[in-house]
Amino acid sequence: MFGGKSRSVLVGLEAGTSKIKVAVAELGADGSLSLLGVAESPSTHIRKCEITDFEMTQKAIHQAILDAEAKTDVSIGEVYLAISGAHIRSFQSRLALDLGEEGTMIEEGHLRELRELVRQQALPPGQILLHDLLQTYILDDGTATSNPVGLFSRRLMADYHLVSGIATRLQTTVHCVKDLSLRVKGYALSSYATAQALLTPEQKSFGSVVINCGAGITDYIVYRNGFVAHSGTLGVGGDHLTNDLAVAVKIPFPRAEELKRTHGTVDLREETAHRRVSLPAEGPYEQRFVPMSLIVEVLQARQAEIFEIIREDLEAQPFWESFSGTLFLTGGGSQLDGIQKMAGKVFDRSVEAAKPLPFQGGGSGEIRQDWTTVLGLLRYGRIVERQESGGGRWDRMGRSLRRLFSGIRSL
Amino acid sequence: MSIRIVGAGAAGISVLDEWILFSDHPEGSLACDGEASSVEGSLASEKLLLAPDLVGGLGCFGSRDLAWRMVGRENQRLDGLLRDCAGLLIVTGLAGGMGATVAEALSLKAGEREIPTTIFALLPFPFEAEERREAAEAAREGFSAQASVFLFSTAGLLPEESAPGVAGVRSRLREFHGTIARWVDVWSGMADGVVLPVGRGSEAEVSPFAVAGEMEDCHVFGETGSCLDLSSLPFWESREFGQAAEKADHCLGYIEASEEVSGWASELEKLLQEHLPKRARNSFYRRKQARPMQNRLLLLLGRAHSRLPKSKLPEPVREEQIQTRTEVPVHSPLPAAPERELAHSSAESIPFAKTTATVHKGENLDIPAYRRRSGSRGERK
Ligand SMILES: Nc1nc2c(ncn2[C@@H]2O[C@H](COP(=O)(O)OP(=O)(O)OP(=O)(O)O)[C@@H](O)[C@H]2O)c(=O)[nH]1
Ligand SMILES: Nc1ncnc2c1ncn2[C@@H]1O[C@H](COP(=O)(O)OP(=O)(O)OP(=O)(O)O)[C@@H](O)[C@H]1O
Ligand SMILES: [Mg+2]
Ligand SMILES: [Mg+2]
Repeated sequence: MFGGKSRSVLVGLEAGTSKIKVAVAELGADGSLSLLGVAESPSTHIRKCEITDFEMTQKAIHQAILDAEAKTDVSIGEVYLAISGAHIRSFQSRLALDLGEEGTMIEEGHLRELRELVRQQALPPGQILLHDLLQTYILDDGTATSNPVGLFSRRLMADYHLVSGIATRLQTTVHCVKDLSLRVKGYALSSYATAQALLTPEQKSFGSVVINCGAGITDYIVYRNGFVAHSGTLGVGGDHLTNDLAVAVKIPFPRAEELKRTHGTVDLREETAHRRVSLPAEGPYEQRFVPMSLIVEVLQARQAEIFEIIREDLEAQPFWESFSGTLFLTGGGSQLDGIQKMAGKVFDRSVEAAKPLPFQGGGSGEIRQDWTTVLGLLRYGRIVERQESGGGRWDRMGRSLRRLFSGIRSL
Repeated sequence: MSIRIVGAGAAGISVLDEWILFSDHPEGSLACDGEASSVEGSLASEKLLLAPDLVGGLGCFGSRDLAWRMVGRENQRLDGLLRDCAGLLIVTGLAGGMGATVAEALSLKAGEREIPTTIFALLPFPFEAEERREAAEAAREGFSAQASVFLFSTAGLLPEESAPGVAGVRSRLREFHGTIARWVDVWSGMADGVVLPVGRGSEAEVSPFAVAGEMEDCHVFGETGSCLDLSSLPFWESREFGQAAEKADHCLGYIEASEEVSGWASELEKLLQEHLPKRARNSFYRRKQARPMQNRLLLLLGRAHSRLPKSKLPEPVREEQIQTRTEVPVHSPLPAAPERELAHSSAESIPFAKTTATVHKGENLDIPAYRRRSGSRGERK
């Protein structure tokens, strides 16, 4: 990592509920990312982002990796992994560091100290910490700042957005990859990775919500003032829309999936309200006529419920009332017709289809909404690697400083 | 004047919904039950939730007494259903509370008004309690004497040897409801005049559904495909068909074919002579114009007997011809897989079967949202 490797390759891997996706990019010495290629293979044994059949999933991952290698002519040895699932919890945490009665000038070491503290926080049994995302530092007079180094204060507080998950579930996913002789270089919460693929620094500052509509999971993340203000994961997604349709129309799941993609909408327009979709006889299936109104009713009920549960959660956050940012919809499920209009109504905020940030060397026109997570992983990987190469030395120094301070602090 | 096809009770509504989904002309459908979930979830163009003021949409919990009280309360609305009605088909489970009671009440009302009435009743499953079988028996006795009643057997529907699991049972039920729905389609086709008896000389060209009486122990078989070879339909060789044929004295055949039909009828006649007891009487019906890409053959085997003086029933035509049973050669499989296979594979892949349920505020979100939310429809902000 420290060496002057001329060609550094980043690989993102998402073991999604519907597809395994692998993205490969080259990280230039100047920090630029050029996308080399994306590969995918269907995943049949992942439900709600949880692996239900280890071996089958491993095969699917292997297939996607082989595909990616063939497409990009890169031999893949390490990956960044997207993590998601209904077991993921996120919460806020505020920590305080006492700097003495007279006040102290804040140094880098204090910041690290706080970070160490947050990592030591007690979690519910079985949970491990995935992310500790710093939001802001707060001084004793209430000033919030992103960089307090050099300032004087008697107390230094920090707000963190923490994300944790059930250790065994995460281990299953990580093992699945490791068994293929792939090193997991790092992992990121799926929604966090996704946001990196979509949001410019301005959008993160101004305020943005990214809702990633996956097959098994709908996850979301809120950026405000440049940092993560909130995130959440809901174990309901596109598979539920499809399943509802399959139950209502009484057709097998794959047929319902096709029906959803070709005729599915959550916007009942007058001209289609009285139409019926004919499912042609095909192979063993007989011809069927499905009222458009039924399709809309079923999909609306589900998609509205998903959005309403998310809205409920957002409304419980202190910032939501004054939040005037934009909602971005992404993930395969965001291609559902009428979904933006519906989100606009439910959230009462402006809604846009997400536009993935371009990569060096163009070709971004081809970027699909269901690739945003895996592409975001590449950007996440870039951030991590640049911090590592730049901050590795700092980190070591930090540790020795901490040891020094820890003696004082315990007094 | 119009026709009405009433799905009464949960089982009746399931069959009705199946019909609506594949019919190209699902006219006159009405879902009627005391349970809000089954009425609201139905695809019927009209819905009648019975006595919500009395039971709050919870149904009658299988109680015939309560069901009659509910029906009594809805007397006027039920009468209203029969206004200007030219023909009535009721589909119901026979052993339940609500469906059977509605069927009984409606059939009596229709009888008074001389509205031709057909009842498709689903007999109880072999495992249902003795009281329910008795209730089914009572309901059957209670139907109007003028009605034409078809009693569909559920015996052998769920095999005893291997437990099919809940998903398996569901898919079999759905398939079963689907096959009955095909006969709903035949009924509605006859009412519309697009399904006609295949005239064969002396035989009376009447609708089997207009004949007062009972067809008991009905078993249904069918095949659909773009090309059907009559002689090699898979059910000829099945145990179920053999057992049903042994007891049957009546066979209704329905043919829907895109090309030549007359050839089919005589071929079918021959095949039935091979497979059915000599006493059995066949009558065939066909659709004037086949729907695109559909060739369909349906058979309904049962035992007919009258509930009225004999004279009202057309005399069965005795087949004088003596036909020796010949061994049927082993047939090659049809190009299209029979429907029952497909229903199974779909049930196997229930997407959330192996996962922890997604629960939000005590509600299981894996259950279809439109079912859970049907009450609050349109009330969203
Ligand atoms: N519940 C149920 N019954 C079925 C089904 N298919 C056939 N039946 C038969 O139909 C009978 C009546 O059941 P339901 O239709 O549920 O009863 P109901 O008419 O709604 O009346 P309640 O007993 O009051 O709920 C059962 O006893 C079964 O023998 C089915 O899919 N579900
Ligand atoms: N045109 C479309 N209309 C509606 N839904 C669509 C459409 N195209 C794809 N989808 C849905 O998108 C979902 C797949 O999206 P995506 O690839 O983002 O999910 P995933 O990453 O595999 O799942 P997860 O992140 O939940 O594990 C499927 O549920 C699919 O039905
Ligand atoms: Mg995803
Ligand atoms: Mg009921």
